[in-house]
Amino acid sequence: MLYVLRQPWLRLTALAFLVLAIQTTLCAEMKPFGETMDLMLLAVAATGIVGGSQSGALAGFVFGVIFDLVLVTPFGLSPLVYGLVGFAAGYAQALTFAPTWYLNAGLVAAASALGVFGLAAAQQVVGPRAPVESSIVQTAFVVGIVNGLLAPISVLVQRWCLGLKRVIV
Amino acid sequence: MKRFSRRRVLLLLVLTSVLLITFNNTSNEAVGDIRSGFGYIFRPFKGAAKVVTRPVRNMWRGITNYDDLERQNLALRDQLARQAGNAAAAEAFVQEHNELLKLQQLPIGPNISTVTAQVIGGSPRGDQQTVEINQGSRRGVRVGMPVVNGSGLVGKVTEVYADGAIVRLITDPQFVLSVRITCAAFVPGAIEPPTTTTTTTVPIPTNANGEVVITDPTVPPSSTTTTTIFSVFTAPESVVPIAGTGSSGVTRCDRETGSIRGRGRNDPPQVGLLNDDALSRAILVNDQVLTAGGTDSLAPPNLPVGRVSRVIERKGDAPIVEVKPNADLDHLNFVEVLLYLPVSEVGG
Repeated sequence: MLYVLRQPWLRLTALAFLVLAIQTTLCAEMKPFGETMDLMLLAVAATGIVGGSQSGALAGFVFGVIFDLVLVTPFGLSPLVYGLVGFAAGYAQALTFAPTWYLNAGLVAAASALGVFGLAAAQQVVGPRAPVESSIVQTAFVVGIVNGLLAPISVLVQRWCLGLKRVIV
Repeated sequence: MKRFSRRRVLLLLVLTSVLLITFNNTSNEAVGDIRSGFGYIFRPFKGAAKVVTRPVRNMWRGITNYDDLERQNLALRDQLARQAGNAAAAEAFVQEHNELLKLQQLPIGPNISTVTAQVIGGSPRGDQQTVEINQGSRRGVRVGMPVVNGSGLVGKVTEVYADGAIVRLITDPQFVLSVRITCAAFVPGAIEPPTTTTTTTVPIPTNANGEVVITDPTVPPSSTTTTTIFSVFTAPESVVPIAGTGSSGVTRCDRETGSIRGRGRNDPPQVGLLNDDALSRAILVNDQVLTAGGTDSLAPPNLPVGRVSRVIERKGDAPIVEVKPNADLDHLNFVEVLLYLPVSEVGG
């Protein structure tokens, strides 16, 4: 039993369900500046930062599939975009020298904003022909800022999930 | 996992996602079943999360909505006082109306059963405009059924569980519905232009005999399980000319049909696919937008959707019409699901 609980991917999947529960309840009502927060995107970006691009991509895929099960957007869209966001976050983090907490927060914010644009672009390609919302920049900005602010906590949680120790440079 | 290079992981991820999207497009029903199944499993967790996060949500609402609530409270008290006065007068009119209908043996219009539901959740992500309601398949709710409130069309049901459903709002980018644009003159009980007070006209409820039923306006609607009879707005089939014709001498009440499409939370829905003719050129701001109905339409005809808020003229092409929905989609509480299926589906 304890062995099972120590499995990083199992922890991450359990976390995905927990974050999804918060996303569909709390975030559906708490809307800073009228925009819906995206904690799933936050968790994916933070996984990329902590575990690298591969872990980020896989976490993005898992989080995306689970999220798509409660959305009414085309199925498969979120795993694609979230996977790419997780990969990009991990890749960008790998390029940095001696990453600090605020740099990580900045990367999470940028990856989250990128995710918002990515979702809109993917909707254009995959979903029915629909115009891009005029407020997409505002949405990306708010989601990025909120996720950037929550990044230090999320990074800690993801580090625990993946069973990684903090490396002090 | 380490055996795979980064590029391979990325490629695998993209290919799998594309496969899922293809699967979604080819086997939409299967995806719907999977989503419904997951909905059943996830519901208890969501319920628990709702309970746990309630204090935080209440705190947030307290911080952000306090002023609005105070204003609304005052407005509602005022409205309630006025309605109490109007109710007595309305009762006499309704009695007279019933007597006249009986005398003339006039049909009131097709009756459609409805299920009253409460909105219990919002959109989980910003790129979709949906709400969750607390009535589902157990009460007869099916995918595609239109959802209305006292002001007009709210959206349509897209996912159904046993005790809940997801409603896609008319502002969602994937919402499409046939509508017709007409002037307000011949719609019975037409809603006053937005320049007046916020008074709206609610469809008149009738019983099985076609008689109008009076309800006490001071009593809030029952929480969830009441099934009521909903009388759809009726409009004459023929065109009724009114004073005030558009350019080209076309009577403005001539109907013009098109498809309304949502454009997200901040942008008003637009009606497109109008014919580039004199009829579409005659559309003016404040004209009524009603559901068009038809054998394949998911909504019955003549449900009020909104009013024309802007007409965007285009050279050599039909104008695009922006619509301000009648229903306040940001503050939905009680809604009614019309247990209506298109004629084509009932026949099949």
